[in-house]
Amino acid sequence: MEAKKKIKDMVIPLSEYPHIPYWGTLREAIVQFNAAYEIGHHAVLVFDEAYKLVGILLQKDVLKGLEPKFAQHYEDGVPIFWDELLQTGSEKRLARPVKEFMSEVKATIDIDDSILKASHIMLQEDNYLLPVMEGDKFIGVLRMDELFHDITSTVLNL
Amino acid sequence: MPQCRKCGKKGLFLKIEEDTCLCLSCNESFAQKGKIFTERITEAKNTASVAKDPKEITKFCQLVEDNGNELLALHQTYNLQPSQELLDLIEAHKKMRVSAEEELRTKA
Repeated sequence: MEAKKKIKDMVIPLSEYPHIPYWGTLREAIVQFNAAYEIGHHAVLVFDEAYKLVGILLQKDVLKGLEPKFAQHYEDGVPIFWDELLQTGSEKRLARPVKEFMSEVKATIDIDDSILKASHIMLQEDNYLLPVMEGDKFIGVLRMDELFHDITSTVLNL
Repeated sequence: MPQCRKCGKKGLFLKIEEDTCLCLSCNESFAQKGKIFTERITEAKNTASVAKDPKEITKFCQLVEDNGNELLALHQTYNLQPSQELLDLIEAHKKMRVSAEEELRTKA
């Protein structure tokens, strides 16, 4: 089986995503998420003071950041007083820097790698966004959406 | 023997930052200055991305370019290689600005 497109056909340039420095607050990140929601981007890229990509903030990271700390240990259901807690502590949580919640760039894919390899890494890392490298340079990101459509349409046409 | 690439300080027990090869004091000074430009760049970049008016796009792309170039100059002062992400960002916003300026000329 060979997928129709190459990774280079699916790469989204870094500049298309909203950016935030690692010391930016969760509140600032949420504003960027909402602004990017309309154009279909569900992540914010995190940069350091030398403008190097250091992490990716995903929706799940934001939700984790908003969740009261003790609630993270609840496995069954949600406590009744959840709503109240979410409101009372939220100001403090919104002021915390995104570096505490972001997903670090652990896995990457090379532009010449196969689409199936990219899919495998995404599944292994439980990530729907993968930075794409050309040599030692970041050139963009690969989303699971594009990968999914390409792989599934190839499979259906077999 | 470890040596700082900015101030030239060297010593057997000198602590050098792994990423930048700068001593802790030079590294901190670079980070403080870099933070200002990075903040300005991200703010202008995010505004330019959602702007619809070509005049606004031109203005904020220009800000990305200007602050990006300042950050590049800062890298040079500290003998550091700029990141590809920064170079690409400046280039992308230059193209965006040129295209917005063309749109403005066509309208006029």
